[in-house]
Amino acid sequence: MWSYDKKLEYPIKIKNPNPRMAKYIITQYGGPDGELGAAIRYLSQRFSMVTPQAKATLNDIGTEELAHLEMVGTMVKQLTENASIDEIKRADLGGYYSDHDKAVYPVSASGVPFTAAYLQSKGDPITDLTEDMAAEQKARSTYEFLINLADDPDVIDPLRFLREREVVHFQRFGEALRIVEEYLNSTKFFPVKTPGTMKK
Amino acid sequence: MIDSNADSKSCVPQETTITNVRLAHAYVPFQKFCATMTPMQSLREGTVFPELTGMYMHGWDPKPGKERKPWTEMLF
Amino acid sequence: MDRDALLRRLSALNFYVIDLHLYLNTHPADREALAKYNAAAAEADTLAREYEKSFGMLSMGRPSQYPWQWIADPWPWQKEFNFKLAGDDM
Repeated sequence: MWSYDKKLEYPIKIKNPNPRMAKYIITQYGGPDGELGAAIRYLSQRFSMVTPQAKATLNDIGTEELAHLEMVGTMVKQLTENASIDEIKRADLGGYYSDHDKAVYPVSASGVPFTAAYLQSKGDPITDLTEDMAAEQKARSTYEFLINLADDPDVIDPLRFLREREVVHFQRFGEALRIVEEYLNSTKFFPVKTPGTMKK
Repeated sequence: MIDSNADSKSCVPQETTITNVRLAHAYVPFQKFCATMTPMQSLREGTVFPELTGMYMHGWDPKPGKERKPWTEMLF
Repeated sequence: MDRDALLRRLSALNFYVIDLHLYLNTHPADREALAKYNAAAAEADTLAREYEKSFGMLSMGRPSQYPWQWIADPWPWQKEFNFKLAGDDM
């Protein structure tokens, strides 16, 4: 089960509103390579994991992704809360505003709502861990593109933090994959499924 | 928090050889424990491990702004 | 320490603990890492208790003064909750 710590993993204090950056950054809230997808992916895949190291890794990185989701939502909120309607319109955020005011809602940078199609939970631990490594690289790249788009240090600093976390997560999933492969490779007994026609 | 005897010159924070590698399998080297940065520096960098920083520098402009100390000066 | 300084130090320690926690998940037999984790976790705990004495509840299940403190503003997504990461090291 989950407990909530009443603080952010990394502090976010954005002095200057910037609805245009909010429009881009929201992609890490509800977009294809964002934190919501990552959290649901890992927290779903953990049920199929073998070896305690892999179960813990999926469980705990999934949990950290929820903390990152909170950070991204916080950034979107702080970037829009004091923006004028005029600034919202000029940032081309009028469409989002029409449906959500300045609320935080899971969409991509181009306004596509979040979907489970962004993730997979395949059951095969090797397949799942390989997907997780890809997911971390996709998230890293996305943060790099967002940093390229940003110029405010109050925004860049948390983005850099989140980017580095993706690199570390990739390393952990890679290690979990090594452990799982060694485990699966070490069992000398190869279970053979009874074909359906032979069931009594 | 006192660091161990880990000397940044003699402690290699990863395995450097992987044996019994098989076709169509992916391998990430295991990390090994050498030294950590201070908690404050770790929070700024996004990890406690200096060996996991400064990677994948090809696709973005890091926009360093303030001068950052090299990680070898951040061990404790 | 004032609230910002406490929260800054606590956030740094908590993060140190988190990153070591993930390392230990894939290196459960690493004694040195475990020792550093335990030392940092103990220090973070002490600091959290000190923070809570003056500045409100930090996590669920912690004790509260009257009236119920958990709901109190600011919440972590609000600007006024957060501190600025100073240039100095700790």
